[in-house]
Amino acid sequence: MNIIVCIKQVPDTTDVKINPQTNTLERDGVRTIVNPFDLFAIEEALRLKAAHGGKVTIITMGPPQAKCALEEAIAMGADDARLISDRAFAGSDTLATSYILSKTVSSIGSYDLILCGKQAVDGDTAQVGPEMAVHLGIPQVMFVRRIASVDAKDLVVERMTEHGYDRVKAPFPCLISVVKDINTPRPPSFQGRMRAKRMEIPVLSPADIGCEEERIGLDGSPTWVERIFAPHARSGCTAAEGTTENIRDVAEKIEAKLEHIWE
Amino acid sequence: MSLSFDVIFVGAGPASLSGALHLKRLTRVIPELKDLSVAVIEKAPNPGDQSFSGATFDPRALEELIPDYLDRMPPFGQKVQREGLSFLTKKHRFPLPFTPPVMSNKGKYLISLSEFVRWLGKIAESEGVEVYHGEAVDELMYDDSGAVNGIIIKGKGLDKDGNKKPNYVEPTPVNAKVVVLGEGSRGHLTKRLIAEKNLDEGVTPQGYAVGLKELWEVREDRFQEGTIYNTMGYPLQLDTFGGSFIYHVKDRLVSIGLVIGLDYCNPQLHPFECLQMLKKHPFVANMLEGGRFIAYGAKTIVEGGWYAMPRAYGDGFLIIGESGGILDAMKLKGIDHVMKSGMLAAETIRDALVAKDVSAAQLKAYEDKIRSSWISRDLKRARNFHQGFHKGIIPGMVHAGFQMFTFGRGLIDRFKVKPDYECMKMMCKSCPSPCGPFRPDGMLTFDKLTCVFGSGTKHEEDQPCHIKIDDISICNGKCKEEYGNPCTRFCPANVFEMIEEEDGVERLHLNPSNCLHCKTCDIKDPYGIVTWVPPEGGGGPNYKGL
Repeated sequence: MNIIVCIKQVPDTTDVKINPQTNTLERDGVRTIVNPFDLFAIEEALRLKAAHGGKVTIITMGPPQAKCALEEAIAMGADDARLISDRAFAGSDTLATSYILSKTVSSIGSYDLILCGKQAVDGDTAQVGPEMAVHLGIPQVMFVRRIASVDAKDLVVERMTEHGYDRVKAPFPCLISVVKDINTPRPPSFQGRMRAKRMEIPVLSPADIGCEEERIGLDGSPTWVERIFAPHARSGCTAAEGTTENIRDVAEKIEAKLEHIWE
Repeated sequence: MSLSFDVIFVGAGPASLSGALHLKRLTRVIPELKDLSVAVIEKAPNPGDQSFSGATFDPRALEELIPDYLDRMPPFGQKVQREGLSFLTKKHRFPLPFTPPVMSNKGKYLISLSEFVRWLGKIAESEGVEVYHGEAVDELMYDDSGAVNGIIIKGKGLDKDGNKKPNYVEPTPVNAKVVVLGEGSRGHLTKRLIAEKNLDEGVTPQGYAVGLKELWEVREDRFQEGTIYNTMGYPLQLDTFGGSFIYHVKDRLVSIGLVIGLDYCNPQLHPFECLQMLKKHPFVANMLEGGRFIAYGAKTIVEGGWYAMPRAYGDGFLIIGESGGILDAMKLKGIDHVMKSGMLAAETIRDALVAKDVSAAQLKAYEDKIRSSWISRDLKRARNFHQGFHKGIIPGMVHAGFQMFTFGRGLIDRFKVKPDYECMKMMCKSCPSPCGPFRPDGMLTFDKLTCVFGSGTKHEEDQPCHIKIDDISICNGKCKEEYGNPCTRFCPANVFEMIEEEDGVERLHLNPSNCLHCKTCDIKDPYGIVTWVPPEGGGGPNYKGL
């Protein structure tokens, strides 16, 4: 089974600060990590490979330093990786990004399964995975918490819903996104790190994956970020005490507090 | 699959990175060693994360290693322009009229060691050194003759009780022709190797100090770029060797640190609270007023000097840097010395590989190289400095004065000293807490946990405790009575805590996730029953700008 895992390098959220004057992320010296949800996708791919054979290829789009994220995935045990990196890609929104990733997948060749984390912790959109499936014209199952069975032609998965889960059967090739309940990701091994250090990871440009220029970067992005701001920091909490007699007073107090917060 | 490198350096600090880079450059021109594989293995998750120092930096070793370093954008702050040594009492400050020339730092660069290591690591990697982060070296491997022939990388994924978790990764043996230990102060492999091979036979017991430091961003009008202050006296009592450093580095950043000799005798001494009290001294408080606390860290420092250096070579191994006891205790400087020691190790290894002989007899050349280098000149001059202060500041100053005029010989050449953990006296009424009761105000002074948060330390919570205590009943019984559990005070990170349990009895609890990897507990616990071993690779402090 040939599996492609899409990952993203994100700022370490425990490390991120927002500059109160400019309302932008302070990126200086902020560490980057592999998007935590993507680690579950990598782990699941490695387990499927161990059970059914095949090959695990990791792809990511990002600046040149996103190579570190790919190295981490190789160190965990992935076979191959591609870095999609070029100035022309900069500023891509989810539509352009999913287009670029889908072109990359097509350029890699035949595949059975595409795995993604459910969302990236920096943008939190959870759009790129589903959009990729649409670009590729393949079925998609999001928020998968377990892969129940795998056959020659299809697989059965459990998809999380607000009320429980659905059992869904999907034919190959398909795209699934996974949630954190699915497994416990393995840490990178030393052998893996050695392999990653010595491996040449191909860097792909728009020409390499054959994408149309007007569909990538800022030009190819119908959405843009107008403003980023930090919510007001709040601290301390008050316990509302009372009895059934004065419940109205207590409710009013809570309401006043909430109004204050919403302002 | 058996893994191997030609040479492995353990610990990616300035000594190892300099050594590895120098070795790569030296062997590049030798046809049979052209493709020498040199690895540096480091437990910190990212380069420089666990490198911690003052620091003032003398670039003389760097000049030898990378002559064009100034063109490579080194992360240096200002050069030291002004310096002042002074004596503090609780309310006043008495500046000394001059700084003794041997202690002067004028013209040296102010740097953050973690930034410097990040920079040096990049250069080493760009020249073919393989630097691996997030992997702890757990043990050394030996061949049948007892020669070191590799290392074992610690496994990952054991739970608190030592059971395998689903993501368990086995320990990995890695072979090497030569293993170079550059673990820093009180390296756990070095400690075991010294004991196993009797490398400290005939040398003075190693003496240590613990250094704690906070990084602050101060107000523009309080910032004096390029100025450094060193103080003695308050908040330490006269019987305790130690002092503070205050460096105005760059970008309104000020480092405030306190260094305390671990040969102190008062079991009530609380280094962390001493640092907090120092900040309340009017001289320091004025500097920090309106400023912002940014980060905190701690490390131990080897101060035993020339007479305490273990034999640093043997079959298949070398010991470099602070692990080998290399540091100028008088200037409290060692980055340049440890870099040089790494480079001398590299030269020794090149000759050994060319001769195809990595036995102790061949590697002994390292010791000879140290003896004929400027390392020995500085260390010999300071050979009695730390030990002279054992009885306190006043006799120490007298000794230091005589040493200054006799090129280090002083009144007593080669003091008899006890290891640090034997120096502590038992609890008694005459040893009150030197700082008095302490209450953090949240503006200038903080509690330990707030500061520990500022170190960025992080560990996998569900793993076996990495601080091993031989017999915890001593902690809960004998130590409580005799010393009042000094670990709860000397640990700069609140790893040790006495907690009253349901039956009303206080017992020792460990918070290993707080650990800053300084190893004070391994050095100072009065019964010598605490052993520090590395936690899972990737855990520990995340120092930025320290």
